[in-house]
Amino acid sequence: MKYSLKMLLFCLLFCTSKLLAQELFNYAEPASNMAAHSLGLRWASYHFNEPHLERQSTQFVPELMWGISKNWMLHADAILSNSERPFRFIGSSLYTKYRFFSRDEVHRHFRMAAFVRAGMNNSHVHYQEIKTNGMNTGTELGIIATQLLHKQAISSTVSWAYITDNGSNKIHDSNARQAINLSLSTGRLMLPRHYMSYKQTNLNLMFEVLAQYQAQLGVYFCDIAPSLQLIINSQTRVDFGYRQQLAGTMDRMTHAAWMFKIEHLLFNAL
Amino acid sequence: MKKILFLSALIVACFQVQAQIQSAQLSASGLTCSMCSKSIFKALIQLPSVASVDVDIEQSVFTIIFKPDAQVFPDDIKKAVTDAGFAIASLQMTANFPAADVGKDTHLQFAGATYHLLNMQVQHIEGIRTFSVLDKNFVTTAVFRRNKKFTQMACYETGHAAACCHHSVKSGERIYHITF
Repeated sequence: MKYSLKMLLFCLLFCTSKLLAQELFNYAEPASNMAAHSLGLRWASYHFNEPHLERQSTQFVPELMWGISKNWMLHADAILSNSERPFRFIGSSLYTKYRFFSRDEVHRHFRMAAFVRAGMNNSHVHYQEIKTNGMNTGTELGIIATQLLHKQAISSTVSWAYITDNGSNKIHDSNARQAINLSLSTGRLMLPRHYMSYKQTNLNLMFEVLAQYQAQLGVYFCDIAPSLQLIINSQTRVDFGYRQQLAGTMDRMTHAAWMFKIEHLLFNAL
Repeated sequence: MKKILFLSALIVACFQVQAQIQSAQLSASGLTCSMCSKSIFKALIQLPSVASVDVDIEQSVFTIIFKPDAQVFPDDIKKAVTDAGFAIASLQMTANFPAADVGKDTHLQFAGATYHLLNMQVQHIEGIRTFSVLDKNFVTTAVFRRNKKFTQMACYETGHAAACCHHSVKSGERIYHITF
């Protein structure tokens, strides 16, 4: 267990030394919210190898996002997967985030937000990894802190997840029901060098560290996730990413996954 | 002595003037990216009083032209920016004023709102003039704190008329603090 904690700490420190970036992260959420009365439409797909089953699987996650007010937003998603052939709906989640602290200055801010996710899932529970948006029925509570410094940003999330059985699909007695999730995210605006118009395509490079620790079993994983983001017409995001386990002792569905995501914002839609 | 009397008169003065706010320059804080800038742009352009918005994305500066005869309230602009998820770092508004002598603590009523003048020498205004809004959430927190040295009046802290204000301004009424 001491080894696990040391590895987790190492991963986090390793990555903070390479911090760069903008805050529209591809794997973690920033403390900032979308504009009030706006809607966001997102389609994410994850492609990964399942080493236990020696096959490739895909997960699709359509998501609707709503900026209820300047501080409060809501996400609702559905999860479709072919992990348990054939392709089928395996679950959904509701995510709400409230920004409770903001200190804004020109070209910089420090913000904090709290979030809750309630996930529902009906797939079999084969693995130790806990994931409230894609694998488990459960609840996740967390805090996000984001610092923007001109074109650089750093964001960190700490959350606690608690899961229950996936309906009639029980959690193995040997599995933990709780986990602590940690993330550190960063990125850099590469293009354009100078903003002239909203029509300029933005290119952001992101680098994220995503970790989970289960105290009950003393197991953990630490992933790195480099990704690339295009923002078209200042309104549509296209993200490509690859998530790879750097270290870990946890039994997981996969240790590596490709991600493709497209998101479109509708300002003043409601 | 005459000067003292004149200054005293200005302190208690409350002028109702016919002035139309024509344009504003807004500096927004808390953002860098064009997607964030666009969310402010979209929030501003949908205000009923706004005719057009020009933006310097790099500097997060928005130049707003208002429709002729539109009622323009600084709070509407602030709400648009904060609803977009950001804050105002500075707001300068330009209006066409009739001739008036104003000074520190003069209250001007125009365009449907009351404006309390802070931090300024006695001066004659006439024609196109630009003023800065100094209230909380119209400047950065640091600037707001610094500006507190210009007045001890309770209305500056709250943005609402209090016992310190001219008797013609109803207690609790929204009052904007500005300087030329």
